[in-house]
Amino acid sequence: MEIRTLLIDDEDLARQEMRHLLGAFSEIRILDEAADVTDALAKIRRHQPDLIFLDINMPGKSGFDLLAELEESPRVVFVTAYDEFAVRAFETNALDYLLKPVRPERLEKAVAAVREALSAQSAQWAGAVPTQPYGLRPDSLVFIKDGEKCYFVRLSDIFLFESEDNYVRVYFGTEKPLHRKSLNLLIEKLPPELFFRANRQQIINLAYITDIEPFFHGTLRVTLRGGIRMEISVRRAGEFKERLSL
Amino acid sequence: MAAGCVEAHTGRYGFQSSNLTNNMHRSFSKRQAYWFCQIFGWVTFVLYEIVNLLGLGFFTWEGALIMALVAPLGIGITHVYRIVLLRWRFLELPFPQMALLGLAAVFGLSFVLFVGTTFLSWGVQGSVNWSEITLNYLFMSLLNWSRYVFVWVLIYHLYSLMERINRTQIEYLDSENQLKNVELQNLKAQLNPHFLFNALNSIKALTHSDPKRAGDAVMLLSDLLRYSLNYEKQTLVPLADELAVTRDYLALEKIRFNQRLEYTLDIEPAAEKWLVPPILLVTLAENAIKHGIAQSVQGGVVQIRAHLENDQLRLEVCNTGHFLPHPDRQGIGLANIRRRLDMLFGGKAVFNLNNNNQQDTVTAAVQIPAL
Repeated sequence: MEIRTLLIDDEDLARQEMRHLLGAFSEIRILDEAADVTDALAKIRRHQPDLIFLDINMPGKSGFDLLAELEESPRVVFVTAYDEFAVRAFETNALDYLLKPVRPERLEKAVAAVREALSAQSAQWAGAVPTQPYGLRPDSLVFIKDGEKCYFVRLSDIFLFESEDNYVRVYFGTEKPLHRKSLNLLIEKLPPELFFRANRQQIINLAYITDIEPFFHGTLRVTLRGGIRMEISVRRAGEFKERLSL
Repeated sequence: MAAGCVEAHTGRYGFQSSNLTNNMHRSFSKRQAYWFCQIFGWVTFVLYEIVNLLGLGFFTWEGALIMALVAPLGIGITHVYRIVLLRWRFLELPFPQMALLGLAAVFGLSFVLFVGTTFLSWGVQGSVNWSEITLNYLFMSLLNWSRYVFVWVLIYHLYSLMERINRTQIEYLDSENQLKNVELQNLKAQLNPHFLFNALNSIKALTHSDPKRAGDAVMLLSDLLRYSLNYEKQTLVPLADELAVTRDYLALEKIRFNQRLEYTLDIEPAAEKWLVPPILLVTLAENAIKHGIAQSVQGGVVQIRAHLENDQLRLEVCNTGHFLPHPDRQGIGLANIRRRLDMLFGGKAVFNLNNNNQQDTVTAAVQIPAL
């Protein structure tokens, strides 16, 4: 299996060193390098890499800013001189970090973890193709930064999106951080086979529905795993029935 | 006043009125101690006088009553004296003035006591033999009263003096402590881990691509580290030393940032002997790189200038970029520089940071007087 990789660091020598270290891994194919966040955003969108090695402290915008601007995040391994405390703010273990100068055996562990995650992913969702440009697949990773807390979450683990002012509250596991993107923008990117807009405020994950019952005036009441209940508006109920009877 | 009072006095009793509001519990016990001493002292005085009269065979009930009334009078006037001392902060006077004040107070208070007891006698006995009160009598009475008043004043002033010494000692220890903290922060600041690990990472990269340059970089880094670890042994160093280590530092950052960093040094030869606080220039250069170069994709220029003008050294570190004063966090680095300059030059050294909007640069300038 080939791991399509991008190196992102503002220092030439740091990228050179990373390239040198990664030379020991035959499956790693370095597609390109980027020296700042703007450059990196363009190159990630162009190459759609499986993995990025990402420096945190870069001119203007940080590695976190980069992730927050992406619709979908590739696998990330942070590489940092001294910011590991920042990486520790993460709530999930969907990422790894390396300290500069990087130890080869530590890198080997990080690459092994990525390899494992990627092969599990390809087995489960083989053939899933996004319907839109930059669209998301059920196994896409989404990066969410809510204040000091950061999350990497797989789309299929999210059971509810709920609009809150101009942002979206994202429910998964026991967490519900605020994602700084609008619900309308999000619905276009979400895979329609998994997510359904129940009403103006909420988007639900169909795989999490445990119960559906008729409610007042032609609306439906849906119960999600974990007991959250919501109504499907009259306007949306028809399409909802259609989708489920397919 | 009786000797027994001294123990109750010492250690528990203080005179700083401003303390009263800060520390209710402690001031309450201090206040209690004060009143205990007042009452105990004056009651002892009365008993002593009565015993004295008894022993000499001069005891009369009227005399005893007068003496008993002297106690509240004494407490009253010494308490007024204490209020005056606290109200006008006389206890903060330098020692000789305070001693003079104390002496004057002894006679002043004695005189008031004399007048007071004279009127007390008049009240109790119904008549006073005014012709008895000659100048000589007045003088002897003052001397007599002053023995007791002197003890009161002595104890009170000595105690306040002792408290003052304690306080200055605590303040001294506090400032000593602060100094140590500043030193520690400086130490941490110049062993900037960001710089250190990035430099090591650059050197590691060079070991395969350019081993000769990697070797040079190791030498630069070791010189810089050696200087960082030893600099605090001296309070001031010649500018030439600072320049040498700043050049090492810039050369290392040049390896890291490559074409993103350009730097120039413009140093007047006569300035090189001027004495400056160690690590000052390196800190300024580090700030310039952190804010001017590391934050910019295309990088920028760092210019270092040192000139003598008006018998002062003017040191400037100028970098591309714009400085935004942040109200919440005035940089620790800058605050530290200010504090160090203040400690070393007592406000005669000037440090400021200015934007030049036309050239899009920030200049940190320090003016250092001759010692």
